[in-house]
Amino acid sequence: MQPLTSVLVIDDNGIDNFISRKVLESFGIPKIVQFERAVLAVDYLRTTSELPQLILLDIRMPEMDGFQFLKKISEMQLALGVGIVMLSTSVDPKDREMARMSHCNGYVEKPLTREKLSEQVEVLGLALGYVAGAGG
Amino acid sequence: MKQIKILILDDNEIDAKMIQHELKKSGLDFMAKAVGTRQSYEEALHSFVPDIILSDYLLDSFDGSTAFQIKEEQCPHTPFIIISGIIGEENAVELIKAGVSDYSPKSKLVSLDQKIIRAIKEANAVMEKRRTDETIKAQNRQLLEIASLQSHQVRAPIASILGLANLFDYNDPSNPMNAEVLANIKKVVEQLDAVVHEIVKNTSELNKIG
Repeated sequence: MQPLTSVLVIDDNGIDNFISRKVLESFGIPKIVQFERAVLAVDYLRTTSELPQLILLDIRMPEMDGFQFLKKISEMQLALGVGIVMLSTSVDPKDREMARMSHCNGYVEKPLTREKLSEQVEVLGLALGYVAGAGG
Repeated sequence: MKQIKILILDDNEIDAKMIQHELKKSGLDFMAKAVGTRQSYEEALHSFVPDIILSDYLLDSFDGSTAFQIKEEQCPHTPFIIISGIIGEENAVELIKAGVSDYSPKSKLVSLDQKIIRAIKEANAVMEKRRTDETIKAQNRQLLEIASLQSHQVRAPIASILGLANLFDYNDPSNPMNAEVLANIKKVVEQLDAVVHEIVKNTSELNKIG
């Protein structure tokens, strides 16, 4: 299994971004890119030379929400093959259903924890626990 | 009760005058317009805007049932009374089932004023109930929106607090991250407090509307 080394996090909530970053860092993931505005993440994906392996995507955001972001990157054919996991504060089953219908690979009810992240990463066929310099 | 606008549909002018004469005798405060054809009837529905319609049953050009159907399409809330000499009890019952407010034989117009007043009162009550129902439905929709929004607004900071609590390093209390976690918990709790204040404010505003 390929180790997970690069994650993009899109969430307008600064504190939830802090939580996501700390959880990702606890697994030693070296490259964590975060945006509070989905439009900036679209620009990033359009111009980056190295796509992330995983995108953690908040659902409810002003300006462009998680579903609009998914639609946009699907139209522009950005992030093809990148695993996308939605993060939601909602306990409303409708949001889960909408996520299931959209082009994403997983759904996590906030808060993100080490256990929830492990579960999602395993489903995507990636491995956690990357250690820099230890080799594949 | 304010002056009642009565539209009389009868192609017999003498009968129309007789109805007005009876109503004047009863002391009813009204203003009447008499029409005898379908065209003038439809025009009067728009231009005269009656409070009530008194319609003959058999007319030369059309009939009371059709007049009632036209009324149902154009001003469904306006009460409609059939006045006829030859309709028969059974037909009258059928018409009332179809929605006609009342029936009065031409030979017995004595209590027509009472029937008019009752029909208008009933129509007003129906309108009033409809308005109340609509207000309640609108308020319900508003409450549902507030409830759904607020469940999200409350759930969001709670999820953050749970996430922060998971990050706290109990094994190493001196871990500098712990200070960051606590500072963030304080921030989120303040947000949650603001949300609760907002909920209380919205609820008390709804109380005022109610």
